Amino acid sequence: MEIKIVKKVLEAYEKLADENQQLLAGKGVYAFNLIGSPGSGKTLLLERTFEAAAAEIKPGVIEGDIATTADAERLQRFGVPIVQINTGPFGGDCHLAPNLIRAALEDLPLDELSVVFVENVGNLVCPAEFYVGENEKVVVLSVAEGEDKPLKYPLAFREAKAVIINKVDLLPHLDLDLDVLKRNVAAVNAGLDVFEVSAKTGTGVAAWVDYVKGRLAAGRN
Amino acid sequence: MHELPVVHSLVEQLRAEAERLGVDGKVAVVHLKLGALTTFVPEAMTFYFEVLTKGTDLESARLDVEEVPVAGTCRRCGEAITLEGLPFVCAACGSPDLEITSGRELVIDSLEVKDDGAG
Ligand SMILES: Nc1nc2c(ncn2[C@@H]2O[C@H](COP(=O)(O)OP(=O)(O)OP(=O)(O)O)[C@@H](O)[C@H]2O)c(=O)[nH]1
Ligand SMILES: [Mg+2]
Ligand SMILES: [Zn+2]
Repeated sequence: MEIKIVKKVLEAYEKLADENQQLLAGKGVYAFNLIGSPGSGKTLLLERTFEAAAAEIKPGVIEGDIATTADAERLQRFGVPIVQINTGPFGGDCHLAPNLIRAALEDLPLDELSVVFVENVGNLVCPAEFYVGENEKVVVLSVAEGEDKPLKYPLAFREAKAVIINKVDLLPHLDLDLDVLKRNVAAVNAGLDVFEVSAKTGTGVAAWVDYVKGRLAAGRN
Repeated sequence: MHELPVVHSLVEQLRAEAERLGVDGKVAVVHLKLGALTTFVPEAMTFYFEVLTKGTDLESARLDVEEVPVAGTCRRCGEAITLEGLPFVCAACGSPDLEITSGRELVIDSLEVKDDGAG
């Protein structure tokens, strides 16, 4: 005998994530979920972003470092509220689950913020899979990772709205063909906004910061 | 790499469903639909399923994973499309503006249950 069920395995997850989004929307806060390989430059991009516009965009940060508080410490000089979370048993150590994000949101002064940046665990696979209640995912990909990453990790690039191609200052030292990388990005998701950035030198950061401000302005309408 | 917690929720849900339906201990096959775009690996899913159900009511149940292709419609020409691979463009008109409607599934589709032999 066959019994039809048709039930989403991650239903409980999705419900929690939806509740997070409702909480954020109720406070008028926009949330970015930054995903990318270990060391792609997520934290340094946040540092540059806050140098340029912390006073204006009123950010809060949720840091998903697995084992250390190093990233949170690097951001402390901006005086922005930061909640560090350790990945729990439900999610393993590979991504941030919505229940952890909920707890972190409750620790942030949402009334004072316009935007929350979630720096997800360094990994291009698992964080792509899970909606935690963010408004959009942004992939931070460094040029040192090779042209083929969009093809190998298509879900991350499908789920994202924008991609930061970071560390462009290193291009002269690499064999990477930037056009091929951009073509691969477009093959997976032609609708992505693409930013060529060096979080080290500051190249391209202004365009990214404008994009962030644009999202916040749109959210206020 | 993140199949374990997912299979863990799957098994918990199955246990609740089987109990609700009064078929605990009788589930022979669990049919799971898995979208091709997800990052979950079928072999890892079945492996963890065996590990997590060992010594339980679901021990004799087998997990059958059916892959659901990435599919949708083209927003430009309206063509129904099924993607075999990259790039994500409409096979009819080449437009990348697609509405993807399947390929992200992780769904318990149905259960096959052993008959009692009584009826
Ligand atoms: N040359 C160069 N180095 C960079 C750039 N962005 C980041 N880095 C360096 O790359 C290393 C990793 O940067 P992080 O900002 O810590 O990267 P992350 O993505 O936050 O790393 P995890 O949180 O560990 O996943 C550091 O040594 C940075 O200084 C860049 O644009 N150019
Ligand atoms: Mg970091
Ligand atoms: Zn078309």
